[in-house]
Amino acid sequence: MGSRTSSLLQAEEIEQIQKETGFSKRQIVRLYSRFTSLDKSDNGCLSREDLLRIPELAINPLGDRIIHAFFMDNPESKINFRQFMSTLSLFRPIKSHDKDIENPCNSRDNKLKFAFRMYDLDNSGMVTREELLVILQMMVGSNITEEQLGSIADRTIAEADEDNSGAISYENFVKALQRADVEQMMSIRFLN
Amino acid sequence: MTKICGQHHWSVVHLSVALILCLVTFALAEDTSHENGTSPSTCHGGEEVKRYEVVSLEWDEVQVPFGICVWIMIASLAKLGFHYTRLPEFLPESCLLIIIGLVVGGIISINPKVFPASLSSGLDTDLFFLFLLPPIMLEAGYFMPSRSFFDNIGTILMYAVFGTLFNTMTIGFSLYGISQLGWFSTPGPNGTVHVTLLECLTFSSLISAVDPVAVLAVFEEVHVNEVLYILVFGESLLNDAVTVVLYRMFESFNAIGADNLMAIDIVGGFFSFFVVAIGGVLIGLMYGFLTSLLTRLTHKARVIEPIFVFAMAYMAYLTAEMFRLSSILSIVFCAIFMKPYVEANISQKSHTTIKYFLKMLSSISETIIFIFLGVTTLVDPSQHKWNTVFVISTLVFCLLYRSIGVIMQTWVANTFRLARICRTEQFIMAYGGLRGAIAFSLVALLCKETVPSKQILFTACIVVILFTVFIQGTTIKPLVDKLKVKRATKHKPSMNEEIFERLGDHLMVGIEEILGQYGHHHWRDKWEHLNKRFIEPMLLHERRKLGDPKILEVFSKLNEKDAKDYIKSHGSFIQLQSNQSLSNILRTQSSDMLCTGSAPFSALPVNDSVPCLDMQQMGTNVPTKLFKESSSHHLDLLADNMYKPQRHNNHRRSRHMDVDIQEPTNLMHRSMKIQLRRISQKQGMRHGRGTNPLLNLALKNSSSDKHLARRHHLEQNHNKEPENLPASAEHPAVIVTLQEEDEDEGITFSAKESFDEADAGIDKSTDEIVQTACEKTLPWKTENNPEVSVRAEINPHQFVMEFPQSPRKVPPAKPLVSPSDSTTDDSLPLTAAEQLPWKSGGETSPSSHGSLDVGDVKFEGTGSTKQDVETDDSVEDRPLEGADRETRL
Repeated sequence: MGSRTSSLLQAEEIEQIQKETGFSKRQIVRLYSRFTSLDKSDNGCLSREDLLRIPELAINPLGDRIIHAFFMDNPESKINFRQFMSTLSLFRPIKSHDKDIENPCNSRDNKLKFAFRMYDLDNSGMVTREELLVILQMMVGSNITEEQLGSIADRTIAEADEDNSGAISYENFVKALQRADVEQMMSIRFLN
Repeated sequence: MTKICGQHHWSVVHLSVALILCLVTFALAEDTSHENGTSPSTCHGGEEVKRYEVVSLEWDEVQVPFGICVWIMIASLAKLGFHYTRLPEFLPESCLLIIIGLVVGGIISINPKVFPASLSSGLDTDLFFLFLLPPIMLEAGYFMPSRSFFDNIGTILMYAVFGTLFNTMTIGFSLYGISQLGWFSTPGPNGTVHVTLLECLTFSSLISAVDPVAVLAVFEEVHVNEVLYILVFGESLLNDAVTVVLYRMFESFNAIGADNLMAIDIVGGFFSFFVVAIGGVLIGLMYGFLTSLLTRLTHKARVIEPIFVFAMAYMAYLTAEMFRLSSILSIVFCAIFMKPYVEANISQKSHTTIKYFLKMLSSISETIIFIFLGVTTLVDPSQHKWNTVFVISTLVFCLLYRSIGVIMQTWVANTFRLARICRTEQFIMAYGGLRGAIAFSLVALLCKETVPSKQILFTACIVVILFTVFIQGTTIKPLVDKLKVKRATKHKPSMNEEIFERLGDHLMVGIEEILGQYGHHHWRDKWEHLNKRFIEPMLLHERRKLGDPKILEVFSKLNEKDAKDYIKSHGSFIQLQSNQSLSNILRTQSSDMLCTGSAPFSALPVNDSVPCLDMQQMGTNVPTKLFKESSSHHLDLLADNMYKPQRHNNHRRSRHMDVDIQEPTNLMHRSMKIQLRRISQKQGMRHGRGTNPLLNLALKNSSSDKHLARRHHLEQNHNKEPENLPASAEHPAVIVTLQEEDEDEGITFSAKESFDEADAGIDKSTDEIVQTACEKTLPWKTENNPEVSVRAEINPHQFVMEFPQSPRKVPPAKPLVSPSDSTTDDSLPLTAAEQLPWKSGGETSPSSHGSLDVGDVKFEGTGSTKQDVETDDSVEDRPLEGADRETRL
């Protein structure tokens, strides 16, 4: 199987992805086979539906948002393998040699940006109270009143919102999470 | 008496006096008992008629428990004594305790008659394994940071299993090698010492295991980061299975004899490892499950909740011990498993009991273990045989192979781990491999017939233990400082961090699923799912319906902190009051009502459940000041009931002192957690009508009080003139019940009991005593005072729920009213409601209730509030008005 998929993947393409994302060759090949198995329509692109078809993702309370964040840069809701890989490279653990590279794709900043997108529904660069409410609702569940959720959202915004804009900007977000171990929390060990 | 330098340390003298008194009592009693023991026979021999003894001494009967108590007292007083000196700043407590033990043991060995025989037995292995070890292990399991434990379980298992195996094998064979070289032998007659391979391996199996008791004692004082801590501590817990198997295997091999060994024995040993480890864990899980199930049913008898936890966990330990499985694994996994369910089921008080009792038990066990360790070292010189080469080589091998093992395994682990273990952390892991009382007990257990060189092993073992506890234990803290090892960051998560963390969890699960690889996020998610679907419904008394209770927990914690900070910085909520926020006014009012309600009965015995009503202030009836006062009442109520944060002084090193600072907040949070869950459940029931219980309560209280006032004004019962008593029908017997169980109230202002008593009081006073003018003005001093039972629970969570918020979202409240079957007008709810003044005209200004004269709050500025309050009472009858009110709010 590995040989079949790698044959579809041009050697130079692998090299380029390797350079862009820092994945190893074997990881790229493995992820390519995953990509093709997800791609039911066989057109070299993943659509939202393709991802939604993953059964576990469908029951994930934030499944929608994860997919949403995946497709953020692509208004036509299609991502090819390159884009797929560059999104996934966010979650690569930070290794020592990554520090030499200027602005690596798996930097803390990029990880935070991805998380911020999950909050930011309309891609406006600001998380409003309503957007926060939606995400809270997803995580906490429906057995809680609007008031309680609302006060949690208010509190969260008040905490982060230093410029009194009534919403959380990306800068606020980064600042609010400066103590969090983002690098570790948003990293995954990719199988070879 | 020893002189203690420093004047302010003279309390040490007190302690030593107490200690010596203990011993003297003991010694005297033992002496007299010996005399007594001989006297009865002589009496009978002399055929003397035995007269009635006014005083007799039955020392033999109490000897054993008395001895135990004296030991506990010595240990506790010693522990207490340290904290009056400056010693704990230089030496860990475990070292100090061993020193005391050494001193006592030294005295005994010089002159065995100084201490009574029953005191000088030293560390008995049965005593250690059956009584001293389980509490420590239970505490360790119960307060285990389970998330980081299971996040790192792979690495921990590797260290525990392969690390211990590696150490055992290398140390054993190295010692045997040196033995073969003949280096252990000393010149001179009888100088040849030969330690067999099996002896070496038996010894190495017990000496290579890191000891959880010692690790706990030292690492609790060195606040390294959580991952490092859990790696060392988790290893020390889990290596028990390996140690048990290896030790038993080699011991029985010793008995079989090296010549008769067959391959089957070794294969059996290999498989017995799985039996011992998995069997131990399974027994633990089974008992944990049973305990959770039991606590699900205990809500009718809260007092016995803690005993289930202790007894069942202990039984898990004993059962595993009985089948010769790993008892430590059993009790630890029992505790880990049952904790979340037990905590959710039991009451607040039981929680505190369990927590403190566990801390107390484990702390005293640990103290006794270390003292006994010292005593036994010196008490019986015949057990020892010093062999310099053996001791030194053991020590060197222990340190050397520990380091090599850690480095090798970390190298393997780092290729799999996300968070790499850096060099300094590896060093601390190797250095923190302390040996302790388990090794000591095991070496004492060795049979002298099968292990001829037991004395040498015994001495070497003690030297290794003392070396690790003293040298490594004292230097590890400076080293951690020097190497700048990442410390534990102790900050409460902010709301953003918490939400982000939960979001991150879900996100990582999602990414793993997109990648199609099943990492530990996946399995954690699967477990959470399984737990929520199947286990929680089975084991929880009240099922959680929230998807993620953690977020709410953090939220309430933070709000709690806000309220405290506010009180600290502002002194009261008066400033807050000036905002004229509706919810605040209502809240203040409600507390005020509660207070004034019970005030005149301050002479009556006050029930415990009314802990903090400020009687003196209430007694003065100053209506004009009520607003001001009420806010200060509020402060009183809050301040009195909040656990006061305690100032912590310099004894930072002890975990037993830390309890003091951690406790209050934890308590609060737990009660909040419980209440939160309740609230959310209630709200699930009353879906569609968002209810703020506090507001609900406030509404109830204010209206009932008003009702009382009005009644006073009329001075007649309302049965005759119901039209003058608007709103009376609803709440002659108002019970605002937010919670079903008394036990679970975090902070409760319960006015019910006092009212009941009050009623009795009134009857008397109205019958017998001519009322004073003052009394007459009091609204509740009327004959037909209805049984107003307001059980209001103002708990911190509810209080702070909307504290930092603007009042824009005060929810419309549907009161949870259950009229009691008292003497009141249950029969007339409709009529009364129909005759509510605003029913007819709709004009509801506060002045239309002109009867509010005494003891009531003047509502000049808050007419609308009052109106809301009243409309709420009749909301069931008037849905339209209810809707109206909603828009107004």
